[in-house]
Amino acid sequence: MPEQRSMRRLEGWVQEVITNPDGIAVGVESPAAKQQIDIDVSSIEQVVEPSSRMDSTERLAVYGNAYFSRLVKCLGEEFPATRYAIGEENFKSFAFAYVNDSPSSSYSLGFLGEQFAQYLIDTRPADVSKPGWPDFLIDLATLERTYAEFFDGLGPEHLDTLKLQDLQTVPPDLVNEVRFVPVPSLRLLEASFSVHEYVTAVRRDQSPEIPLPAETLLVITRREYVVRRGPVSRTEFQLLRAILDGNSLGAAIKIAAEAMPDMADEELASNLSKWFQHWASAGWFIRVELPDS
Amino acid sequence: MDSGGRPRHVLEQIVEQYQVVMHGVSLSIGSTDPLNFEYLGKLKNLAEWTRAAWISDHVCWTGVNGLNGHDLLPLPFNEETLQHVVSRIKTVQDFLERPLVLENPSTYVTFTDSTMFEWEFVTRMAEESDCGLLLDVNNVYVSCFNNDLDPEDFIRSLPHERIVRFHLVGRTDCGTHIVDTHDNFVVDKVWELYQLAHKLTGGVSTLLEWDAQIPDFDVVYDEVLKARDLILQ
Repeated sequence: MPEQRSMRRLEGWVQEVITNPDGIAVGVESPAAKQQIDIDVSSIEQVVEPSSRMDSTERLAVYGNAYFSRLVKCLGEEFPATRYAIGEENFKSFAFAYVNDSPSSSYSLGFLGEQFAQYLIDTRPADVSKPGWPDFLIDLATLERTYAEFFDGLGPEHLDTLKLQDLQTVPPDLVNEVRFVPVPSLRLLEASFSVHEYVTAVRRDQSPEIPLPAETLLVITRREYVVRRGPVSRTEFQLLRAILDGNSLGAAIKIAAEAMPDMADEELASNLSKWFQHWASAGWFIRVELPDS
Repeated sequence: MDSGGRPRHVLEQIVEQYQVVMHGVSLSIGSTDPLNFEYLGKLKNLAEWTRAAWISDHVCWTGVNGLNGHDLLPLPFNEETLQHVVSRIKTVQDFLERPLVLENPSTYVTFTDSTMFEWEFVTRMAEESDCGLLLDVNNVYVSCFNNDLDPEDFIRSLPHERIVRFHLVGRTDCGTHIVDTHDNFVVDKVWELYQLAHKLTGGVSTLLEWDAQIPDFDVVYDEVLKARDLILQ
C-alpha cells in the first residue's frame, strides 16, 4: 500500500477532480488537483480502489456526474420559466456554466440560485440591442429568484399591518413628515417585459409566447404564505420606491411628482387616496412613524 | 432552518402534534474545514423550537476550502479520519446539547488510504464519541455492492445497541453500480437485510424515504406497511 496521505489533501483532491467540468481524467491532471496529490490519471488507482465492475475513474465519475446534474436540476426547479423560455438543453448549458463559475459555498441549496440573474447580466451578449432576448431572460430569472426568496423569507403573517384608519389618526400638519415602515416582504421590480404573466403561464403548464418588450413595474409581496405580484403605474412605482428608500411621505410625493410632470396635482391627490387604500388592504406596511416616534 | 415562510408554517403545525427528530445532510462531520458554527447555531435554534429528540446527519463530508458540493462524499477509513471525526462529533454534541446520530451513506468509491472496513470505523466512531447510529439498510446494500463487500457482514458487525433508527429506500441499478436514488420500491435483498437488522437490534423505529418520483400516498403507505409486516413475522 502507498504511503498514507493526509485527509486534508485527499478531500481537496477529490473535490477538485469531481467538480472539474471536463471530467475526471482532466480533473486529475489539473494543476489544482496536482497541488493536492500529484499523480497522473494512469496512476489514479494509487488513490481510489477499482471495484470488480468499474475502474477508479469510472467510480469517481459517479460523484462527478452527480455533482453537476444535481445542481443543474436544483436550478431548473428554481427557475422553471427561464428554463422553459430557453429550452431544456440551453438551460442546462447556462446552469452548468453558472455552477462552474459560482460553486456553492453555502450549507443550503436555497442560496444556489442567488447570483444566477447577475450571472446572466455579466454574460449578456453585448451585440444584442436593449431590450432584447437576453434582457427577457434576465428579467425572468430576477423575478423567479425573488419568488424563491419571498417564499422562504420573513413575511407579514404574524404582523399587524397598517390600516387606513391608522393613517387617518396622523395630525394633518405632520402627514408630510411620516415615514412608512414596510413589511419584510415587499420589493419593487422593474422589468422590460411582462415577465410576471409569462411566469404565471408557465407555472400553469401553459405554453406562453415570448412577449414583446413593454415596461413592467411590479410590486412583489407575500400574504398568507403565498407570494403575490401586481403591476403598478410609473407614478405609484416612483412613490413606493421613494418611500422604501426611507423618504418621508412629503419628500416621496415630491419625487414621484417630479418624475411625472404631466400629472395634474388633483389627479395625483386622487391617486394618492386610492393607493393608500390599496396599500392598507394589501398589507404592504406595518405602520407609519411620526417624526418624533 | 432558514425558512420564515410556508415550510416553517407547516413545520409549526407538525411539531404541535408530533414528536419529531431532525435529519440533515449539511453537517459535513468529516470535512477538514472548520466546523460551521453559524450553521450549528441555526440547527440548535431549530432543534429547540421543534423540541427534536435528536439530530441526525451522515458519516461523510460535503466540501472543503469553503465550497459545498451538496453530496455525501466518502471518507477514507483510517486512524486519522477516526480521530478527526470523533473529535468533531464531541464538539457538535456539546454545542447542540442533544444526542447526535450518524447515518452510513451510500458510497461509490473506496480509498487506498483506508485501513479498516466501514463497519469497523463506524463502530469505533460511535463508541469513542458516544453518538447514536442511524442504519440505512439500503445504503449498506448499495455500498457493499459497489465496494465488493458483504452486506450481512456489515450489519452483523455494528454495535447494535447504538442503532436508534432504520432508513429504508429504493435505488437504481446501473448494472456496474447501484445508485441511492430514493425514487423506487425497496428491493427484496434490502428487506432481508432489514429483517436481520431488526432481529439484531431488537427493533427500532423505521423511516421509509421516498423523495423523488413520489407515487400516490397509498403506494408509499403500502411500502411502509411491508416493513411492519416483516418485523411482525
